[in-house]
Amino acid sequence: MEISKKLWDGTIPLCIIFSHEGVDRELYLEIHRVSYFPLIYEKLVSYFSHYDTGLNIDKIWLEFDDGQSKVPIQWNIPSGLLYDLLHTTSGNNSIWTLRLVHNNYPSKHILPHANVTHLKTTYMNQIKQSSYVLYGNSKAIMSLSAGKSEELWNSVVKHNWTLYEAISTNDITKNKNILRVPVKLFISGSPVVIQAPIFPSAKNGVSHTTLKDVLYEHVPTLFHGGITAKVIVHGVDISFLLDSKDSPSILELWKLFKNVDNFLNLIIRAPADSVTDNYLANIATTRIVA
Amino acid sequence: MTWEDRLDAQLEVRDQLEKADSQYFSAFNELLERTIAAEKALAAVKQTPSSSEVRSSGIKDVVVHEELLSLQQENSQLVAKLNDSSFEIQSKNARIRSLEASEQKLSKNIDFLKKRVTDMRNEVQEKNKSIEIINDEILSSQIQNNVLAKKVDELSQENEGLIKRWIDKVRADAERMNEVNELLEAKSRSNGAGSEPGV
Repeated sequence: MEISKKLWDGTIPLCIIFSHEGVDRELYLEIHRVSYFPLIYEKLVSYFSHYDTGLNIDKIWLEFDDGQSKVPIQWNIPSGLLYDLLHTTSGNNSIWTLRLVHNNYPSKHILPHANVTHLKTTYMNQIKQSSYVLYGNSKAIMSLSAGKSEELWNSVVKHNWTLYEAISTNDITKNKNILRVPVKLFISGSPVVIQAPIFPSAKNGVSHTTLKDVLYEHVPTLFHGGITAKVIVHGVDISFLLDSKDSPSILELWKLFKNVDNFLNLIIRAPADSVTDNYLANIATTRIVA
Repeated sequence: MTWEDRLDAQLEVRDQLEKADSQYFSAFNELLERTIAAEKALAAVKQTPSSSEVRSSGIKDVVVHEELLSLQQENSQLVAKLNDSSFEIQSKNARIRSLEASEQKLSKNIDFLKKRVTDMRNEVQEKNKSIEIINDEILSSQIQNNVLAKKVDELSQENEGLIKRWIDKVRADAERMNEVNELLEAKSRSNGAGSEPGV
């Protein structure tokens, strides 16, 4: 249970830079790994409005400079996942510097209206999607009362594990008859996200599906032929589970590592030369890609 | 080392790196929230007309803002404490479940062992009965053996007596035969001396 607590309490250090009239203003703050960037937008606007009163919460976004280009941050993706996907690629757990930008919203690259209201809608849609993957329907979410839905969202906003766990256990995942495990495989260094049906048990119905089974089925070339891709989740490398004798099932891993939207997000970090454009194009045509 | 231990160690390392400056971030965050609250309050005061009554209301707003901030901080701390307690409860519940499972397993083992003890007791009782029967049989065999030994002795003695009698009889017969032979020889010698040779 110590692991669950560490996963929930994980935070990432941020430095948000806002440029106004040619001067860079910095704001240092932490955000929970299991959280979303729009939840700190109000604080950012409140602070930086001191320098620029024209800041509008509906028109701001965060941008990441990867040294080659400026990448708008996808606010609908959990913050910890973005940190691992974009910042710690070289094992760098330092402060992540992001730039707060307003006006000329990059609607072509990220979802519009990055505010808390739209985040709530996106979150509820995500959790409906994961519920559908789990049970073949979204009844668990659709049948939640308005009060419960609000409580669930508040538990995410306030980072209240007690409330979240109570609703999650008693209402959302109370049905133990899981058909498929909601897993997303993010290929580091590319925009590819693989979402394929992953069954909790093997075809024979006896043995449980393991992480190795999932990776060997969906990204086989990154784990064969001497390529040593890493599997990152919540900032830790869990590749050791591939060779572990007491390796847990993918369902157990999902229960432990799942995000608040009930998706298990795994980052596949392969050597740059093995993730070629051809390889990605091949994945894109053979898998369900988000 | 189980996979959970290894994972826990890796999370510890992650947190050491990512939370290295956490105390400064927390302090900065508190200052930030106070600054934001103070700026809001100041703006509210500035916007109000300068009459003493309205200014007093503005000051009240500042106090309310401060109280609100303090309550929000308290709320965050309480949520964090509640989370910690919930994790502890979950951990203890898991421990209880594990101990209950262990107890159930041990109870089953005890039941199995009790059954085995009962079976072994029954087996020992059965074996004791068999031993008694065997003892009786040994005793009866010994008696029978004694009787037979006695009979063998008697028969041996009788046999010896009969052999002795037979030897005596054979000896007597032999002696008598010798005597008869001697007599016949003597008679034939005496007849030979009185008659012609070749008769």
